[in-house]
Amino acid sequence: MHILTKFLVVVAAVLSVLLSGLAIAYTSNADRLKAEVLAERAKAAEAVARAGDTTTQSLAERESMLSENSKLQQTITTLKEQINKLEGDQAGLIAENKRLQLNDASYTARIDQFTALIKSYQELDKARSSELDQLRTRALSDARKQIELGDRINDLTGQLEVSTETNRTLQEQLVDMRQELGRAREGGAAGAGSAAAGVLRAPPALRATVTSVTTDVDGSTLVAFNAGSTAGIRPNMEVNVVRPGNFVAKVLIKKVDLNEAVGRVTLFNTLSNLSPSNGDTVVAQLNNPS
Amino acid sequence: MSQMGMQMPGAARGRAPSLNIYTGLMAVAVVCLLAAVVQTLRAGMTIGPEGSLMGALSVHEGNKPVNLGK
Repeated sequence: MHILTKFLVVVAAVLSVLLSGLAIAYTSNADRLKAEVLAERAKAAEAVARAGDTTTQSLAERESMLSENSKLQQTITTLKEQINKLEGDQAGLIAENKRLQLNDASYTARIDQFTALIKSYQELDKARSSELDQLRTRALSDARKQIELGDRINDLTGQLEVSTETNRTLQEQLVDMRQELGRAREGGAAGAGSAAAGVLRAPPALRATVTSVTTDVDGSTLVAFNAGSTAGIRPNMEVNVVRPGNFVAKVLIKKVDLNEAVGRVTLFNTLSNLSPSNGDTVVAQLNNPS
Repeated sequence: MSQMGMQMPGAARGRAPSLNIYTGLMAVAVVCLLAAVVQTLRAGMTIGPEGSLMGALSVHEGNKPVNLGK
């Protein structure tokens, strides 16, 4: 083998060794670099994603802050308007206060006038109350006099009623007397006064009303009134029919019910030419035969 | 033993070596290897640690960050 060939072989071997070393180092470094690049790319992607999130969040915060800012601006505008309005109100109130202070003085003077007027009215009221007391005293005395007069009137009314009853009784007696006189002149049958044999006295408290007046078949007058056995009425009792202030007739009871009785008129008031009618009063016999 | 070039005492000398095709092929191979070494050296310097000549034969450490020296 030529020396050059040997040299070339050696050189080739050395270069091969060198090349292999270089190739191994290169591939190792390339792998390492590739891994590094991938890691850096992943980091970059992650950073980009985080940046995107941060950007989105920042945009949202920015939007919210802008809206809050606009709200605050509106609030500021509203508050400024309120301040202006309140300042205007304050000026008005200050003017009103000055006006009221001016009015106060005039009102104080008027109050003084009214106070004097009130005092004068109080004095007038005192005079009126004293006059009222006098009038009340007079009214009381007048009322007392009125009561006394009323009592007097009641007394006189009672006396009048008594007189009326006495008048009726006297009229009845007069009629009885005239009848007896007529009988005596004619030589009539015995029988003194209006008290025939068997005639009973009616209860002294009797007071009834005539309910009907009819004519019997024999021509005599029948009178019915609203008092019967419950009031003490019995057959053969004699009662009187009267009208206010006048004696009308004398009735002899014939028939008695519980609350009604019927009698025949035995004596008419020929002096006054009266006859019984509905509504007349029926009373007990009041006269005392002497 | 003559193929192996052993010179035994008493052996006759052979012919003198001469340039042949194998030499040329070896020359070509050396040239190619040289070119490959140079190219690989340059690429290794680019990506090797610290970007130096020796960096082409060095390897980046696994736990430390990559330092290309540029």
